[in-house]
Amino acid sequence: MLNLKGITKTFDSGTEALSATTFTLSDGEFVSLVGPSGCGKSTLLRIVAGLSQPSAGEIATSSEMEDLRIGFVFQEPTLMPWSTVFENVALPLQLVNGSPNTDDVDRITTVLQWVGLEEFQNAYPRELSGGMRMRASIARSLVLQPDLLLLDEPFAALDEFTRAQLNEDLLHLWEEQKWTAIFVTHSIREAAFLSNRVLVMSPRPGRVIADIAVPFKYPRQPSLRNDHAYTDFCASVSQRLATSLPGANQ
Amino acid sequence: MKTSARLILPLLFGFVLLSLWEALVGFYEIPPYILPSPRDIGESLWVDGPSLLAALAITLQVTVAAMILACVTGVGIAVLLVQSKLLERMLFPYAVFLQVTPIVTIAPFIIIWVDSVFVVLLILAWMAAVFPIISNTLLGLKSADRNLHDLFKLYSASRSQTLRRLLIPAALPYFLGGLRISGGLALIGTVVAEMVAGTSGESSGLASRLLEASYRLELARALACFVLLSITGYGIYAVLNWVSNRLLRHWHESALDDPSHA
Repeated sequence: MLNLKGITKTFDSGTEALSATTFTLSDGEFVSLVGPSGCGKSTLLRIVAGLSQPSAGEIATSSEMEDLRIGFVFQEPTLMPWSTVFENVALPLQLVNGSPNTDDVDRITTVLQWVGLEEFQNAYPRELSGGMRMRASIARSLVLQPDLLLLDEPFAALDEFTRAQLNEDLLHLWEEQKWTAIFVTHSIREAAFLSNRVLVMSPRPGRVIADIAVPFKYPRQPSLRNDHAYTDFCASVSQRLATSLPGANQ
Repeated sequence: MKTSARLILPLLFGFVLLSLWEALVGFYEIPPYILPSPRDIGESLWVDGPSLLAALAITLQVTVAAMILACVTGVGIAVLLVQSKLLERMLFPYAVFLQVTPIVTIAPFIIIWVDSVFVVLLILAWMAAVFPIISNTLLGLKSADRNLHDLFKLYSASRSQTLRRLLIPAALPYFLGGLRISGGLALIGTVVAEMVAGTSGESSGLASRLLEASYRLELARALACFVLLSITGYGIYAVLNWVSNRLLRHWHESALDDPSHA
């Protein structure tokens, strides 16, 4: 569905964030991007979303996907603090379609049910826990039925337990709905649990240095995390990442 | 218990202070044309009350009109300035001039150019009140979350959608902070303008009455005017504070009951 060719990004300050990043994304894939801090993962995501222009290279979408609908989940929940959960989730519909109609209300209610927030639809963000805010943020990204969901380290600020729970819930939603996902994370364990492919990026200027298929079948159970094969796989990705770091080439 | 203590403590302090004042005036036998006792002032408030309140109504009219005008123009100017960096660079220095120029120095010109006393007072009070609104609203409009900006961009929000749904709500707490300052400044502006413009007769406001009474060495009445103006200023602040808390109570830190439980 998506073909990235030689994406390069140099900021005005002269910092080179990305150098000739190339990869392909097929329909319904769940791909994770892992890499050291500052390797341009977030920059790459912003370029795919059209929020930032690449200095060189191009992004091609398959012909039937001319008008790719994109959802974005930020590092922080990024909710409007002056609006209720319902109004926050309704925002994309209102920005794209104008005023909400009854279909929209149904759609919003459905999406809120997916993330388990239907009882909190009238709450304000400050009344919710960090995990619930992130759920609201995910609900908002799904409300327009995106073809492609971009997630920029969405669970980094959450505690371990909440994070594991949200990983499982996100995977459930994806298994049911099969949007395509690019998931940026620092956590190799998270990447291995969620995705069917892990792309390893080099330190800045970032580019994809390894494209590793994850050998575990869907649907994945939480018990996978205790599996030896899973732990071994995480270790091998971790090693691949470590060899890319400066001072690791002996 | 807590609320009543919050009310009683300042009142108690005021009572002690006034008693001390009363006692000192009595003990040293200070004549009322130099320093009237609180009792004299109270008496003047009671006797002249109706006429002073009528004068206060005139002052208040100008003050409120100036506040409304300052809100409308201040927000309008801030929204205009935020549209382009160039425009802001070009025009903001003039907004600063508006703030730093003492209105007493502009008053004589306005008095020559404008016939209506009400309009003269309005212009001067507006000049005193508008800057905090421009400056705070501008800051607020620029302080919307970067990621929310990106979100609006992602869904191709129009300029007016971004303004209505993102920039204005984000600016609201800042605007209200500016408004609280402006409320006091509008009253100060009106009072100064009244004194400079030398309004008299039917249309004279409370500040003119204060000046008039002090010329006649009727200090009790002058201080009664002063007391009414102070209470009015406090009242304006209290009302604006209430409005601000009301509008922000659902979401903004400043309006939450107990910050530690946010």
